[in-house]
Amino acid sequence: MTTDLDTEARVRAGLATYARAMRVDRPPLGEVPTPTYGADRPVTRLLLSAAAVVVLVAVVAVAARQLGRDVGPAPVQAGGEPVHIVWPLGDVPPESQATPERIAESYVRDVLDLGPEWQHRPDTDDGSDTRVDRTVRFEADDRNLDRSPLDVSTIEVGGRWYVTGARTNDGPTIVEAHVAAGHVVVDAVPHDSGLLSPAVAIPATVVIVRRDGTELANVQAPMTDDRWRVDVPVGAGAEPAAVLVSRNEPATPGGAEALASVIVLPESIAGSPARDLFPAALPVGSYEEAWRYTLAHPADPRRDFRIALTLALGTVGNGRPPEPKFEQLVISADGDAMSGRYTTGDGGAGIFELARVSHDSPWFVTRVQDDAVDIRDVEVTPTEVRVKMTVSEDYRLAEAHACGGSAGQSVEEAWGHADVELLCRFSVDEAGTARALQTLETTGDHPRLIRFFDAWGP
Amino acid sequence: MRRETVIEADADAFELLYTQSYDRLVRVARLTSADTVPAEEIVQDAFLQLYRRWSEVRDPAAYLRLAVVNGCRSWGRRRSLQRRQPVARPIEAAPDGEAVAVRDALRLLTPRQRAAVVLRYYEDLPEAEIAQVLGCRPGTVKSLLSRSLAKLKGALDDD
Repeated sequence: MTTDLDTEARVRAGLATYARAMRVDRPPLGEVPTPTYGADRPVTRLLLSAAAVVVLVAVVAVAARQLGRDVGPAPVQAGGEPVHIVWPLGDVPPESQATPERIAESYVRDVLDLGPEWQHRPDTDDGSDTRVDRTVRFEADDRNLDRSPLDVSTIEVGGRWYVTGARTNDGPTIVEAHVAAGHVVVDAVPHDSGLLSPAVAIPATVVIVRRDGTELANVQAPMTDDRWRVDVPVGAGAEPAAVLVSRNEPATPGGAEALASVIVLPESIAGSPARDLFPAALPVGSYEEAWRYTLAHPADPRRDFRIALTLALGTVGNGRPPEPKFEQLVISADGDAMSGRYTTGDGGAGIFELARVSHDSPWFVTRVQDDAVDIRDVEVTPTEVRVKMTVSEDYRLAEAHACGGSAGQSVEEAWGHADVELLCRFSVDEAGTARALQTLETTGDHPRLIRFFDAWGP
Repeated sequence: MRRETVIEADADAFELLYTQSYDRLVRVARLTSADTVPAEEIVQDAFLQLYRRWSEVRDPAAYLRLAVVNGCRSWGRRRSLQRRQPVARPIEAAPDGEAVAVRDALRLLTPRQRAAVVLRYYEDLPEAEIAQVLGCRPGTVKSLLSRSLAKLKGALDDD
């Protein structure tokens, strides 16, 4: 019987021996290698063309650096298809495009090359067959690998389903997109690879689409590692529905294409006094999902609320379908605020609050609080919100998703005891808003998740 | 310092890095992919990208390593339904039986596991640097390596 150390030694020695046996023909600098693949990657052919070219590029780079500009080539979109369709761009078996799940499955297996541990999680079924877009979620079945879920977004065009993007936490985070006076303003936070200088601008594309998925605007905008804002004129009277931001050139070659999309908040929100609270009220990734369900049920706002709340509970609850039930509903006279109680299939129970700007607006979840949580004190400072709370059961921090959708939060104890005060701190963003998204897990014989979600405006 | 001196220094540094790193990176690509990618092309692509961003990259060696591992993982993106096939290789020295056993065992791992194993046991990278390459936490690397070793141990013990 071998030990782990024996195995390590065997693997180390085997790798070294196998690598030594490989014949590597290193082309000298100055030789242009013959392309053997990827006619769609013409820049490869320029590689190592000559030391003189190195010098030339260095001159350009130095000059560009002095000018503060990026020297990369303009991103190239494949012709023919709408730019927001990322796959397939050529022919695939028609049956692969028959359903959102099929095309997403093909994309995950054959393009992203993910293994069988990534499994499709059945979507929340809203019983509708009228949607033109769907998001299919994949999760690795081994939680110890700490991989965040992968969301593959799809769209139906001409009876076939296409992939419009796949996003994990690596993609840019769109903080908000809204329309005002004929302009769509997009705020996003790119993710830093840590390898490039913060001054480097990555070419990015911003696509504004209508509700039917057709393109309203398509602009190029260099994306830096700082908070990033783009103003896209779309014209008065235009009805932008969603924005897709794609970082065309990965920070590192071969890196995953970073895509993200959200709804464009309607102009009515821009004039609402509650506007500053809404962006903080719902985890960012949920805008898109809430939007797609809103599209599916324009005449059924209560069903909208149920699905939007289900998605929010799922976000807080580690992505597991919690099968919530809602009761004791109280709806405001204008129909734009709602509160009640929820129970979830994983043993959770508590209160919730939602709000919306108008009957046409999506619902925004402004509060979820498990019955086990007792808020003792809330202190708001210019930089953070400090929440003192107790929990009625022993718990530990459900670390995997404790930070999902909220920025800069921390909890001072990784685990805690029942009724012992806990201090949670949540960062205030540039807009003066903060959101709390905290998941704890009880440590008894039958662990369950405790959800706490709140938002504060300026 | 005159501009010409800076440029010459950049060119020299790039050429030196190329000479010192190329062969090893090709081997990393081949090990990481279990010989299912055109390793030389991926490594050349990585050098091209580096060379375009030469003045902007903080750590060229780390950049190249990440580029190569990512290149192997994303090989075939947008290449329809074509399945990965081993890439034809020039005639090479035959590895010994133990190396062949390790190579075959590596093919039982997922691409991510294989990358972790190669970076740890061939490149001798610490877990923190492997985590940077794979885009995960060091604890995840530990889990990946633990599970990979368990798989490899089973395969090698059976061999």
